[in-house]
Amino acid sequence: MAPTATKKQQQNNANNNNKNKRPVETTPTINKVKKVKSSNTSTSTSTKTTTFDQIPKIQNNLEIIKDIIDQYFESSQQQSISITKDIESTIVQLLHHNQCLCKVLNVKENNKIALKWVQSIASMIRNKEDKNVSLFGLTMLVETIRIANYELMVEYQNQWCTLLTEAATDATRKGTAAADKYQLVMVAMSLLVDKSALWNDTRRSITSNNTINSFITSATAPFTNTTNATNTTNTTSSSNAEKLSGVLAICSFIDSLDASIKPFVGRLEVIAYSLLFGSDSQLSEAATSLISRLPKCIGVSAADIYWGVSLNKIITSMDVSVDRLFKGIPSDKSNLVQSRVVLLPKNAATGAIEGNDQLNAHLTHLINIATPALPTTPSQITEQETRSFQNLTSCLSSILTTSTLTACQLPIDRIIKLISRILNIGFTQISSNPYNDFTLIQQVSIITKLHCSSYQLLSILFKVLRKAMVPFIKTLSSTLLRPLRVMESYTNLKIQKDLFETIKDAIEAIGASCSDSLAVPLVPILLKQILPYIPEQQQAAIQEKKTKKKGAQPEAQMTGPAQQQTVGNVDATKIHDGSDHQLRVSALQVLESLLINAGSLLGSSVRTQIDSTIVSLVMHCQTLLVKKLIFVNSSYQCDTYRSLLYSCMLQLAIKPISGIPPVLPYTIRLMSNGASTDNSPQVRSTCIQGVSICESIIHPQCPNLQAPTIHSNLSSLKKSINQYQLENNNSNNNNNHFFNQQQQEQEIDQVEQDEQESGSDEESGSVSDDDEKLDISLNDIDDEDEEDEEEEEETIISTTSKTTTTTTSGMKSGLFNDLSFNSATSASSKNNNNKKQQQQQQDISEDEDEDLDFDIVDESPSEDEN
Amino acid sequence: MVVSEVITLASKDDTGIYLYDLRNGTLQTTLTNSSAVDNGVCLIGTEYVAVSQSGKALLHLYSWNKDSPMYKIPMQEKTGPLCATSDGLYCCMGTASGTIYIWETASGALVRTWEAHYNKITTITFTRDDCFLLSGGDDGVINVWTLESLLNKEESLMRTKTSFTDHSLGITSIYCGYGGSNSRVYSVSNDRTCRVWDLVQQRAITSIVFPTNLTSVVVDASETVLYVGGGDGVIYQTDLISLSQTSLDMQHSQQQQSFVTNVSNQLQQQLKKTFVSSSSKSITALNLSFDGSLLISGTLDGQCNIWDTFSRQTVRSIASLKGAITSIQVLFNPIDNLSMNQDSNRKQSNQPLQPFEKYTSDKASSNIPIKLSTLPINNQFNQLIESSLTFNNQYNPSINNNTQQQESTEESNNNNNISNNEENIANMVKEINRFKQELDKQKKLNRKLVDQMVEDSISKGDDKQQIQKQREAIMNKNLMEIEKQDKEERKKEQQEQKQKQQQQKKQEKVAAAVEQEPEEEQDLILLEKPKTPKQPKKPAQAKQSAKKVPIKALPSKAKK
Repeated sequence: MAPTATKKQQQNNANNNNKNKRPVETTPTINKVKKVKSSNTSTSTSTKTTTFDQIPKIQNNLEIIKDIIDQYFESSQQQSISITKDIESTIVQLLHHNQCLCKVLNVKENNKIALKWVQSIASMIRNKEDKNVSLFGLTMLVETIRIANYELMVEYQNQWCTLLTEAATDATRKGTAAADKYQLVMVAMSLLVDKSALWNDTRRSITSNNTINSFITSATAPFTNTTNATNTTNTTSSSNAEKLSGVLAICSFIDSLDASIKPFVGRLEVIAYSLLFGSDSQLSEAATSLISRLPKCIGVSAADIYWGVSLNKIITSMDVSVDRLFKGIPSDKSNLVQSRVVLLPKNAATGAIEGNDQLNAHLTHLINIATPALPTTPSQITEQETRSFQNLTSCLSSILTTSTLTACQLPIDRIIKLISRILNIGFTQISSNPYNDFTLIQQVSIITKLHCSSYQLLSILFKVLRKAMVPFIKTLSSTLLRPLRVMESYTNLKIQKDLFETIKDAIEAIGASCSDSLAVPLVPILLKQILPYIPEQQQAAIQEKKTKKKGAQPEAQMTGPAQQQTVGNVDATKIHDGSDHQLRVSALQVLESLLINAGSLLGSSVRTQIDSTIVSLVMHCQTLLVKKLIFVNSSYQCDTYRSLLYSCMLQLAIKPISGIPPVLPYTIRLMSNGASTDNSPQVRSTCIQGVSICESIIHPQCPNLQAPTIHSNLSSLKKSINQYQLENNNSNNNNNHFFNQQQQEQEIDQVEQDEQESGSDEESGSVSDDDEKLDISLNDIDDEDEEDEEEEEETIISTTSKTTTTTTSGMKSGLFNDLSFNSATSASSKNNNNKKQQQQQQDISEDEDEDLDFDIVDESPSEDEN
Repeated sequence: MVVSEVITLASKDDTGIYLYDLRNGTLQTTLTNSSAVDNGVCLIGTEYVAVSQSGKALLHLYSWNKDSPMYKIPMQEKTGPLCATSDGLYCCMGTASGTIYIWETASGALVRTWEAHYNKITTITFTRDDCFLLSGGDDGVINVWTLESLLNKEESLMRTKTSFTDHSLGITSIYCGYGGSNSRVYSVSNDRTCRVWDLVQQRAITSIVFPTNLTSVVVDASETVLYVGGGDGVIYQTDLISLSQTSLDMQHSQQQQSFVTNVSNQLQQQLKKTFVSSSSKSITALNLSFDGSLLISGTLDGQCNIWDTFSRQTVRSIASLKGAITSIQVLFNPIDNLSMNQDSNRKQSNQPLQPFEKYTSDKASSNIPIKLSTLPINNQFNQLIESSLTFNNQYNPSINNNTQQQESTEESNNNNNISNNEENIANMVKEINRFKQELDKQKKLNRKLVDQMVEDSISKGDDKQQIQKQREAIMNKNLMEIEKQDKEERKKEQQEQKQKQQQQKKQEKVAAAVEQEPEEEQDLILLEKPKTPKQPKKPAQAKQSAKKVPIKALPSKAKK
């Protein structure tokens, strides 16, 4: 026992040392505590080695808590030490180390210590002399609430509630001077409410005792202060941080108490919407969170109606601000006909709900919350309206991404109309005819911001609704593709990036259904966009080198077309910098997701284009790497670009389609080359993944559908018949029954007749179809499944002598031949089978010859290029 | 917690849909008042079931929370096979007249009806990615429709994406494998063939002929084994893949097996013909458990057998249903016995579902009923809520931020160490070049000073030759000295570089190294600078010596 004990001591000491190391700068007082702790642990371990794990820890924990109370709580109140942030954080860490505080306070035996702990915290919070002491007390309270169990909550909940309410009123009275205290109080309140909501009686005491009212009053205090600030000079206006923490607390209350907040909804609405139209971005973001949570407060019965009205209100406000911004621009009149007034839902919807009047009052209140007045000057209008539009969009996104209690009616048509109204007005329209008071710069900024917001909203719609967006895909794809077709006028990088991301989301949401309307027209645009940029001088340098080595290297010829393409992508007027690569990267991301979702449905001509472009780009990149000519500022230098090129090529290999040569041979070779030669670890890992996938395609665990030889098939039949005979002789009680020989004969006779009957049908059918397709009788399956051509290559090359295919006539006559079934002895049937096998092998060899010819044709381009 | 699989059994003549536990055979619940047509049961999402009533123009919608129908929906004509998309958004029904109906389940709107087949539609299914709808009919045709075109309201005339017409008799069942739009489709027909189709190539890959008309088909998830139910009551198993060519015999002994229902031994004499007609009826429905270990079959006489696929023995028989079993579904147990038939607000908290419309209207266009779920988006405020209420970041967030920043800077330092070293080397090289340039300047200065001295001496009237010799000597001497200095400096520089490289290799703090090195080099400059004023003195001394010392001595010095 002794050596183990010493070992444990050492470990323990080592742990303590580590703990001491953790806080970087510890004050001497902290060290004292730790010394006490370490000495305790060492003594306890030396005395009690057997129950090392349990009892000493609890004792240590007790000691720590006692020490903290003695050293800090009391001495800080006596102002003998000043609590700094460092000390505070170290103590908090100590409290949670080994769940120290939790294990001490949540044990009934430690009642006295718990009482002392809570009392000293309360007195610290009430300390008005030193601000730091009350802050420290609040921090301790937060940690105590965090670990409190049911008993602790029942005992101290009311005390804490009053304590926190007092602290909050104190902090709000002091205004911005006590902002940090206010924030801590809000955090403590939200934690307290969160904890209380876990148990029914604590929850009841919070909600029924007017406690929540005072909590919400203190959480909304910063907002009431600002309204009073103009009237009274004494109260200072609250800072944004206070407001933020107030909204944070309210959101947390709603999350934990939901319907109990219903009486305060009106008050919260006013705050939320005033913040939403405000200028501060953080606060408006907070407001969006609050607005998206408000329907929860109404309760399950009417949540969907409230949700609908609030959504309606937001969309209407968006419409209004678009009206103002697009004033004078000719647009589709159907949008303008729609009224800009939010209406109450019809009585049919609300009629069935209890408390109809109350709900109506809520809804009318919501509808009547005023939006800010329109400023006079155009510059103010642009600034305010674009900002409010962006805020409204983010609010809408936030509502759409927050879970609802019940199913809600989403006015999808209206949203899509709004989006297409914005996206239909491009830069070309405004530059040609100035339409209103706005200057050109303002117009451009308006369009840019509105387009970006619309794309983001559209992305959210795709993510949320997924397949339900399929009916709109045709409209939306034309809207999304238009700016790409006239890319020259859309030089704004952010818009382009957002656009590509939206398209990617659309493809991922809808999947293969987008192939016709979106994917196919998108491909040529993407292929143009992904071409790399190479600085002109270096381009010239390559060409010089090429002319020197002209004809010497086939590689130079091979990369020729790719380079010509790259020249085409170099725009002399464009500034090429890092952000330009981002666009290529996002285009490649779109291409990748397009290939994943609809790679095999694109049609052979489109696929050939993609295949050749991607493979030639990768080859170009690798040849440059080999020659060490990867240029500064060229697109190839971007790791993400290269890695995406590889992953696109991998997708091409995974999704082969018939009729075009497979990419797999290129892919595996280029990938393994890239895995060994590329500089970037990111690209290398992509390549390694790709190689492993390609390998699994080449050597699949589950190979193609394959057919047995007729010989073996018949022998197996015979075996089964023999087996059945044996079984029949041995026992008659088996559950699984095979046919005996006579029955087999009968069956075969009958089948043969059937065959003859249906054979004419079959044959006529098969003649009309492809010659490659084979019919197999009774459980024989075609070997030449022609699943993937590359797989086929592999199998054919490796098992040329083994693979066996069967022709329709041979199979049918063979399988249902009387001879083969009648012959119980195997010799005669073997002869017959051998003959047939020979015949069939001839057929097979012919078939294989054809296949091999075909394969050689496939293989040839790779050989040429390599 | 043990996950339990259940099977739903629907029959043509019975009055209910039964849910049995697959593994232990206990009856979980019965959905009342329903008798389904062939393939007439489909799951809508995870919460609902739709059942086509046999012989009636009626569709029943059930929720798993209630055993009686939520909605009994009248239809335009007698109902037929049903299918729904995997997310339950759209539901399709084929009918005896060859018409297909498609509804949006959330709003109940009838999106489209169209004439899809010349004859009765017997089976209908979506691909796993919901991209295509496949319908098979008694006309022997399998039609493939794209969901996009079905939902496109501008398209008035429906065209098939592909039609498969190889079957010579009516299609009885279609199974769509995994792989979405790349998947393979297995179809069985009364013409005794099972055909495998490739949706990408849009043609048949293979066809397998069986000795009887086929009624149902199912393939295991990895698409290695095919099970086909025959009109003779036999289920035929076919291995689609033989893993090794070398062990052909082993493989093919298992290649062709058959499930034969439990027939008494006396009847084996008349096995095949009587088998179909007497006790064991035609197989009508087939399905597999999730792991493919159990095969569930339903027959025309209402018997359901559960087979072990490995040993091909009957594990369990359920014979409680009347009439032909028309549909078998395998799913995870959706029944919560505690909340069964308890009407509260559950209906509202479920996914939206409205009774299907009998006729088309514009209801679908305006609103979509949807139950939203929380999605993570870039909202800093939500992150703030999370961070402020969880322990790790709550206390003293400023410190945390600092530490995070420190960590990040440390990481970046580690990452950038190599590049930093390179930069440092480049800086040092620059500094060395600067010193060299200064040296050159000083040399030039020296020469100028020497010239001045010489000119001074000329002006004092010394012999030109002597002066020249003196000049040469001084020049030589200076050159020698300069060369020595150069060598020394180079040595020092080399030593410095070595030291620096060692330092870099050790990855000591680079910044400190950079600060120290310029100081050293400044010291060097200080050392050099005092030399420069001395140098002009030397010629002066030489001049003095030239006056005193005999002139011969000078060349000797120069020679040395």
